[in-house]
Amino acid sequence: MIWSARMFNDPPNASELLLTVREYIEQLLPDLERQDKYHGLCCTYLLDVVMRELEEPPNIGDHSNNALKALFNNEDELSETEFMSSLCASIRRGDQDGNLDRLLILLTSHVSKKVRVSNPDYLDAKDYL
Amino acid sequence: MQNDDNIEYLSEKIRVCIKRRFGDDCEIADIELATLGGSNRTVLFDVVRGSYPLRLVLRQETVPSEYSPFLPSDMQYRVLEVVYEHGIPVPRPVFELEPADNLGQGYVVTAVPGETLPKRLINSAEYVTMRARFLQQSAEILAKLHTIDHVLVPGLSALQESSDPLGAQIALYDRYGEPHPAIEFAFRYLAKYEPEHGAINFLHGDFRNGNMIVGTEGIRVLLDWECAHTGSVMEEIGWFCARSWRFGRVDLAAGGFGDRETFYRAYEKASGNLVDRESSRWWEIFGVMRWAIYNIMQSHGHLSGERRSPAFAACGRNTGIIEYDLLKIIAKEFD
Repeated sequence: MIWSARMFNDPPNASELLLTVREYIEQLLPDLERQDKYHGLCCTYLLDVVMRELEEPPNIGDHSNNALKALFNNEDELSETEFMSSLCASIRRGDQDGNLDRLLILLTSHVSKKVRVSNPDYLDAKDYL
Repeated sequence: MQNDDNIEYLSEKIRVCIKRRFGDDCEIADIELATLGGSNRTVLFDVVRGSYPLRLVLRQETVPSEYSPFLPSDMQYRVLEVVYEHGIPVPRPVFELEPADNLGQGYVVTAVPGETLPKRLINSAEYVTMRARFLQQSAEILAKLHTIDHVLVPGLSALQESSDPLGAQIALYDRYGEPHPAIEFAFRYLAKYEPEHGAINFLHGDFRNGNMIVGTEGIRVLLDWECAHTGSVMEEIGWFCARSWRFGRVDLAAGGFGDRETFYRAYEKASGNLVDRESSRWWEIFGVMRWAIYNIMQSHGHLSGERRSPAFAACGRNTGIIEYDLLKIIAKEFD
């Protein structure tokens, strides 16, 4: 389901538009050679990624991110990027060395969220939350 | 578009460059842009004089040096000369580019026909029976390479990749300014369990399926020497066995060609040195971490406009998949 806020536009919706472009590139692929074919295949992959990203519920992964934030006693209103930077700095300083087992589980969940969009078939069933 | 991305424009410059060296009576033909690789543009062409064409390959640098973790072209060329002289199978080095060529940094080597696509090497029926041969040859070539005296390439041991491999990767990652907690976690894990590295040897630095040309008789040449440096041979063995080169055949840990123990034993027999299994596994994790950072680097090259391409854009989204491997290996859920 595409975000409802975008539903005021006339059809085709964003996913349908992307699918149209994808289908056209797919038709071209058999006639392309070497480098062009490779980049054409990359383009179909990239369109698949965008389609999955659009269809992903906006709150997916909140659970793992909230758990990460809880682990770091993050009470500030940091943006996602600020929080990730702060988390990275904390790991680099060694502040989390006592928490590495728990952190590994939470980071696997965090990374699984990205893989759900980039290549969901790659995920272990138990990580496909 | 008057730049080297335009094949006609580039072809004319190659024509002038070749005539400067081989004389006005030669011509170039069959120009083919082969790949935009991770660090270079590869152009194949025939030099025709009389009736016998000589197929050559121009490797032209495309990564601006200030961002590049790769050896500068002149060092790559010296590496090629040294390993060629020592009987390592590589394309024969022909000449280095000069400023008067107006082609930037790079060099020309002889072309070698054959297959390079990893998935085809691993999955194609044509090569299935050759996997054991590829594995054996990989071990023998590495054992021979590791005996070459690295001082023949001045500056190789002074690289940060040689003196401080983990620090070199952290420095590269820091250049891109993207927060990746999974990679930070790997830095911490690797630092905690870093083994003693022992003797220092000449390393290819990117020896794996995908960086070799093969035929149905076996490995013909090794390519892509831009990551050469010095270090523990376990680094090279671990990199070869890293999960990222199995291309769907995760059971074939040794480069997608076979199992680890067979490869370890083949290397031990060829080199006369024992493989430290534990250290090699540490280097496998290091390798997957390094591969994640190289994907960030390629995505950065795309986003900054230095080298736009759908493949490099895909590298950005590939990073999470490699991080997933990295964490699963550390958790001992993936082998």
